[in-house]
Amino acid sequence: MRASLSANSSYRTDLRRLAFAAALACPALGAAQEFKLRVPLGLDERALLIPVDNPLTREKIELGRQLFFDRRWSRTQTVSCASCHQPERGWSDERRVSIDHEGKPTRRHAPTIINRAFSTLEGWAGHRDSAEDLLAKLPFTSAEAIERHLGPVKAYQAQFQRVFGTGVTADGVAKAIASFQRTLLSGNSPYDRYRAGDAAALSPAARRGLALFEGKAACAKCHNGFNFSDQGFHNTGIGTGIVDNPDLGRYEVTKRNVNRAAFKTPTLRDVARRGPYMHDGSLATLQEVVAFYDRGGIPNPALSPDIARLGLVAAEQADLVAFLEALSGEIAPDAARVPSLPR
Amino acid sequence: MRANRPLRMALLLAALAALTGLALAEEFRVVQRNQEFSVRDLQVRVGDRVTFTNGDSVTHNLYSETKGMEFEIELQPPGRSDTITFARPGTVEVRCAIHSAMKLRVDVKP
Repeated sequence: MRASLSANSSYRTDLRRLAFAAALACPALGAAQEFKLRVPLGLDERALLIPVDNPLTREKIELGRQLFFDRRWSRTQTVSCASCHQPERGWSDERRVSIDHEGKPTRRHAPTIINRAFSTLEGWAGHRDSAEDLLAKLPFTSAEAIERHLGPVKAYQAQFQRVFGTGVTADGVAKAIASFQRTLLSGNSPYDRYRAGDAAALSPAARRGLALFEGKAACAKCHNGFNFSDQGFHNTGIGTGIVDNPDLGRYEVTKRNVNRAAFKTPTLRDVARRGPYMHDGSLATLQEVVAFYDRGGIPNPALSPDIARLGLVAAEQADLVAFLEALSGEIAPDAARVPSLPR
Repeated sequence: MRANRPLRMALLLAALAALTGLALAEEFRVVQRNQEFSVRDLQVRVGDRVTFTNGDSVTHNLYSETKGMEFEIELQPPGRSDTITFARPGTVEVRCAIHSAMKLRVDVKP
């Protein structure tokens, strides 16, 4: 099954090369042509969620890549998506919480944006229904700021015309960046290669960690599936001690008590690349995260019943960290390429 | 004696109606497993009962925000069953507030 997937990927790569060559010869063809995502080993291609009204095309992705790194579309022209979703930090933020366009700290730590093509609800609280919805309502920008700052850029005008048949619009910006984001797929990690039959891909410590992950430590209760996330919302106790203006997480969206101070289960792929951790960035290292769960989280009235003391000894905690480090995968170099921005 | 006859008839009719009602109401079973409902769509009639059993090792929640058919089982531990009677016609969306991808559509026929 794995071998077959790999062979298909190689076949798709050849097809894409042909398509890219054709697109270079005829730019109009490239603009309209659907882009076939290369899904790395370990991810489930059938689970991809690409909106019907925003299909992937090569030129739209390239436009989205430029916009992702372009600070000019924020109100103050000081922050871009990449300011908080830093490629070299696992597409997350090395800071505990992000800093907004006015230089003020935000409420939460920036979650990674890898493998977002497999789910829809966006943000730690799932407050937006899609990446397009999230991007259209970002507080650090506005339709007016986008048109004023990017509208005069001739290269953007030409790209928007080719991709959307319009001038520079906020809707187009959201669709282009969402498309770029969906190409950031991380897989083919040591864990994936181990699952595919390469017994040497995981160290003995990581193999012991895998057994703990699925067994005694019960991490897989929530961090399950090929993307290591149930896409659920759980109260682990993080941030619940705050009396003044506490972050109520998913409750702010649903008003259901079961969602009080509950936050989305993040993917664990590439997790070793992107500390600090948790929705408030309060835990600096994976060792701290494992120790936190070993203690059973933080007691509070809405603590998830699925969080309990684990009783892991130090060696077991180290094995779990070794396993988590083995989830560091590969993102296709062309997907992670930083572009030059049009002037 | 004569005075009691209408009362006896009324009681008999009530008992028959109750029995008939019980016979007509159907029981359905849905299991939550692997963080999915065992069916995505379910057709029932008004008065039918659906028993939800948590077949997972994690806690679930059950709720409906469908107007006139709102309910919530806030926490359903592994192994527990809860029964919902669908008392009104319409389409009811049953979801889990913990696992947002879990959805079940129940079509309640008159």
